Amino acid sequence: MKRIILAWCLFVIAQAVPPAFAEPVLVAVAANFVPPFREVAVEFEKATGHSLKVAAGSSGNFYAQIKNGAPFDVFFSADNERPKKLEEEGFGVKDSRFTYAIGRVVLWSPNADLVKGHETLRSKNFKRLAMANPKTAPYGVAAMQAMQKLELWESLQSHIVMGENLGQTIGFVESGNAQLGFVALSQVMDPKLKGKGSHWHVPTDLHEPIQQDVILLVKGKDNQAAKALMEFMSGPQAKTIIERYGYELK
Amino acid sequence: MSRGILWCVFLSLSLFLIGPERARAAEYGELVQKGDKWVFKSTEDPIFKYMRDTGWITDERYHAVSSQTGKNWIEPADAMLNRRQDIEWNRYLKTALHLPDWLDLGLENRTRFESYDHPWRVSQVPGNGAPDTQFPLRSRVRFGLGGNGPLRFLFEGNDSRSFLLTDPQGAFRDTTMVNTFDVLQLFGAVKLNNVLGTGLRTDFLFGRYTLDMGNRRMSARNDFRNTSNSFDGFYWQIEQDTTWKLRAFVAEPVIRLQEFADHQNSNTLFWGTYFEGHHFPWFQMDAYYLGLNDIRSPRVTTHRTYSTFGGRLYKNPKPGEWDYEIETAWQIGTTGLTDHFAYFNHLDIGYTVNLPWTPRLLFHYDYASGDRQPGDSQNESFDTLFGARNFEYNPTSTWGPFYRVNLQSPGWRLILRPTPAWILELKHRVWFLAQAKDFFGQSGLRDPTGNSGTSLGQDVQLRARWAVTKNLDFDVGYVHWFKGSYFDSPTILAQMPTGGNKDSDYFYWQVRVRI
Repeated sequence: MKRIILAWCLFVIAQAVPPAFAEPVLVAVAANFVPPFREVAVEFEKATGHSLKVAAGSSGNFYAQIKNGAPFDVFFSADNERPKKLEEEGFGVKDSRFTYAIGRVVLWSPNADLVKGHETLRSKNFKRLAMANPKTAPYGVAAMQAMQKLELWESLQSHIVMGENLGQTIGFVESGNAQLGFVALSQVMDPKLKGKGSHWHVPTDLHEPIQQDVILLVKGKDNQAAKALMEFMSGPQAKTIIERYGYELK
Repeated sequence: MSRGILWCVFLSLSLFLIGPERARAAEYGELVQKGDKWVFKSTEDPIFKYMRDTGWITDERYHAVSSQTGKNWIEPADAMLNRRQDIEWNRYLKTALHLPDWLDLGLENRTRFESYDHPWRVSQVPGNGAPDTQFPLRSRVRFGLGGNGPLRFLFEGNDSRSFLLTDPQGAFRDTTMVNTFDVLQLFGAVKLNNVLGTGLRTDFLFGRYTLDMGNRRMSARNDFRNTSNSFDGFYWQIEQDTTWKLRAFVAEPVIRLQEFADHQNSNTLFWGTYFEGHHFPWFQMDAYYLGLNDIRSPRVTTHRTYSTFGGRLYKNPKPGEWDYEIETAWQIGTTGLTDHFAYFNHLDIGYTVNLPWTPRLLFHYDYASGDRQPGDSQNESFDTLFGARNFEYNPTSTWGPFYRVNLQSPGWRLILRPTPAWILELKHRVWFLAQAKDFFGQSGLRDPTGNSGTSLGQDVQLRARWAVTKNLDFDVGYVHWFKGSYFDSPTILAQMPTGGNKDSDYFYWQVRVRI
C-alpha cells in the first residue's frame, strides 16, 4: 500500500514539474498581430512544449529596443522595413526573415447601412473619416494610397481625422466621433466587433501590400525553441489561425 | 495509512493549485531596462493568470477578460456619474463564475482602523475627552445588466458599520459612519452613441444614484467617508467625446438612516446643470448652477432654499509644467427666515518636477464665507451642499474638523510617486475662521461675541497609499493638529469635552479589497 501511495505521490509531483525541454522564447509582437498570436502561442506550446514570453507593442518601439540591446529572440513586425533593417544592421539572423501575414485594409462603420463600397466615400454622406497617420502606420499609408488612386484624397481632406495608430483610429469610429474609418481587417474580425456594422474590403490593387515580416534575432540564433517557433509560423496550424483573423498569406 | 492518504490529498491539491499547464502557458508582458539589464516584466493579472493556468477559464476567456481595461473596459451604467477609479477593477468573481459580458458583478470591502485623541465636538462632551477609536467597515455589492448599453440597469448595495466603540456616548457616530444594509444605487439607464448622426453621446437615467461633479466640492460620491450621499430622481447628460459635456439632474437627496431603510423626502429637492469644456488643456472650464430646497425639518430656521452659481478653471498637472485650479461659487436664497448670501473661493497653484518620483508641490488657498453677525437678517455661511473634503482638506470619517464653511486656509502639499503604485503625501495647512462670531465647521462650537478670535491652528498630514493592483490597496495616514488660540478661550472651553483644547493626533490604516 505504501508503495502505491509513494508511486501516486511521485506521479503527482511529476505532473506538476514542467517538462525539462521547455525553453522560453522571448518574443516581440506588433500590437495588431497580438490577437491571432495568442492563439498561435497556445497551439505552439501544445505542439512543442516550449514556453513563450510575449511582449506586445509598436514595431518602432521594438526596433529601437532591439538596437539598444533588448534580448528578444524573435520579432514579429507590422511591416517589412524594420526586420530588413535589423538584418542589414546585424541584429537579425541572415535569411531567417519571411512574411508571416499580409494586412488587409477595410473601410468600416458601426452603422450597418453606411458603408457600401467606395461609393460611400464619393457620396460624402458622413462628417468625419478616420485613418491612421501615414507617417507612423503602414495601414495609414495604404489608406492614403487607396484614396489617391480613387482620386478622392484631395476632396476628402476636410473630413479626415488621423489617429496616431490603428487602436486610436478604430476608437474614433467606435465612439461615434468619426462615422467611418480605414482600419485593419483583423480589428474588424476581433470577436468584439465581428459581424457588427458595415465594411468594404479595400482592393489590394489600390495600395502597396502591407507585408508583415518576422525575423529570428541574433540573440535567439542558438535557441532551439526560437527556431521551432519560426518553423511553426510556416506550418498549417499557424496559417489557418492567421487567415481566420483576416490576414492574407504570401 | 491515513497519513499517507492525507499526503496524497495534499499533493493532489497542490497539483490542482499549481497546475501542470502552468509552466507551458505563455506569459505576456514587456521588456524594461534597469541599468544595463533588460528585465521581462509581466503585465498579466495574477488572478486571471492563475484561473487560466489551473484550467478554471479557457485561454480565449482569459484573453477576453484580460483585455477589458482602458478603452475596452466594459462600462457600467454609472460610469458617467462617478469617477472611473471608484468602479473600475478586474471582475474576478464574475470571471470565476463564468458570467457573460453583459452582466456585471462586483464585491468590495474596506476595513479601516482609526483613532484620535482630544475630541473637540460639542456632541462629545459626554465622552469626557476619551480617545475615539473605531473600526469602520464598508461593504458593497454591485450587480449590473446590459454591458456597454444601450439599455442598462445597476444595483449597488451598501453596508456601513463601525465597531470598537468603547464609549458610545462620547464617540462620533452618526449616518456618516453607520448605514447598515441599504441601497446605494438602483437605476435604469439609456445610452445613445452618435445621436442623430451628430457624433454626440447622450445618457439618461432614472432611479437612485450617486453623483460626482467637477472636482467634487459640491457633489460627491463620498470615498473616504464610511457612507455616501445618493439621490433619487432623473439625470441626463450629453457630450462630445472628451471635448465638452453638459449634465442636468433633478433629484431628492436620500435621507440616510443608521438602522432602517433609507428613503427620499419630498420636502427636499436638489437640481442643477453642470457644463464641462475641455477645448484647451491649459484653460479647461466648468460652469454650474445648483439649486437646493430643503424644508424637511419641522424647524423653520433650518430650512435651506438657495441657488449656487459656480465656475472652475484649471489645467491638469504634467511633469515639467505649472498647473492651476480656480473655483468660485456664490449662493443666494434664504436660510430659515433670513436672507442667504455666501461665497466660496479656491485657488491651487502647482508644479510637477520632471524627476524620478515626479515630485509635485502644490499651494492651496480657500475662503468660505461665514456669518458676520448672528441673529441679523442675513446669513453668510457657505454651504458645501453634498461635497467631499478629504482630497484637499483632511481625512473625514470620524476626523474631519474642517468644512467649506466659515473658513480661510492657506497651505501646501508635496506629492511623491516613487512607483506608479505608490503615492506619498505631506500636507501642511493653517486654519482660521472667516468670521469669529459664526460656528466652527460642524463641531457645534461658537462664540457669538467673537472674542475667541479666529485662530484654529495648523495641521500636518502624512499619507501613504499603495495600490497593489486595482483590486487591492492600502492607505495609511497620520494628522497632527496644533490647535490654535480659539480653543483656549473660556467660552469655547466650556463647550468642549475635557482636554478638547489640547492638540489632537489622528491615525488611520485601511485596506480595500475588490473582487
